Amino acid sequence: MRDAGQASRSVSSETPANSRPGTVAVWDIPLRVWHWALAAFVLVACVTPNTFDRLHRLAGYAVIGLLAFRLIWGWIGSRHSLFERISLKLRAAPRYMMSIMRGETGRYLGLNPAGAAMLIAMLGLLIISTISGVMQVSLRFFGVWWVEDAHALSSNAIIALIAVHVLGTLWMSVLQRENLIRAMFTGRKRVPGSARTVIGKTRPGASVAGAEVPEPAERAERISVVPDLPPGRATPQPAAAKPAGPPRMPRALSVHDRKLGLGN
Amino acid sequence: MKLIKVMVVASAVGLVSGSVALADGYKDCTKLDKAAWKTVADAEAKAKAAGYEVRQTKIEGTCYEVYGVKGGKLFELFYSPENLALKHTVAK
Repeated sequence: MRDAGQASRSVSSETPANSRPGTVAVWDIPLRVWHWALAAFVLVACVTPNTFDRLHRLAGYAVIGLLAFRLIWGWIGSRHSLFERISLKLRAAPRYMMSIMRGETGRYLGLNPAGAAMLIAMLGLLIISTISGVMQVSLRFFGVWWVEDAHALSSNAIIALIAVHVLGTLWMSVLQRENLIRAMFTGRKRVPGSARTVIGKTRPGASVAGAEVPEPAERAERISVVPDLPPGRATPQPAAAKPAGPPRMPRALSVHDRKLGLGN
Repeated sequence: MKLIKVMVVASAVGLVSGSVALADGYKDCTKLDKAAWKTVADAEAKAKAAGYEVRQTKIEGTCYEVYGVKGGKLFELFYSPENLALKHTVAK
């Protein structure tokens, strides 16, 4: 994980000075806080049904608030929080999960397809679980069997998914040699292409919104069918790949410019 | 990194098993054999007589758990199947 010396030089000029070299910000702070707050409240809810009713209900209301936040953040959050392209990843998910079974993974900076599927499943089940939970203690639906069953089944499914999520994340951390748990605390992951071996090719295209065409996978890391949103500013760009800009203002070249291959 | 993994797995396993153990509410009402229990209808009749609107009855452990509504409030009434004594009430 600290092997990214090659890539650090070109990146460090554009990342904040206090960040680790060779890493790039992926998960924004609200998303990280959301993730761990959700985990905490869901775990509280897991251990309190029937025994600590008040606490169970409070945890449920907190989860509803967090779900509302996430749905909003999926529209207005930073790149890797967005739902924008999640359907693409969902379509790739079955194949991706099959290849995980064979021990092959493609690295994604944001969620991989299996992670996207997990996110959607988790959000869906949490919505069912919390809504049925609220209904269960309403005058209208109290003691109605299908409401109770919906709450019990969706909640048990969430517990099962948590186990899959935790184990899957750990396994992926091992397979890709990147501590994904730490990434959910620090928000940073290593720069694409800065793995063990670096093959010269980097992704072009720095624009986020305009990129509609899936880009070729990074050979070095055997990425996959559906690309992530292309990394933005932090991607080291070969000078040749830059589109011709407006004519440069004439100025004297310094030693440093020539060293970096800039000018003319 | 390995330590983190071990801790995460351990806590996940612990919490899941803990939730299974904790997920029990009130459930011990009688030691009487099930064949000698009074019927569910008897328990519901008793709740109705006490002024509750009965929504549903479940068997919880060795209790009849009657879901009743009274005065716009929600209650879970735990009756002993042995003698229909009201053992426990939970206001929802």
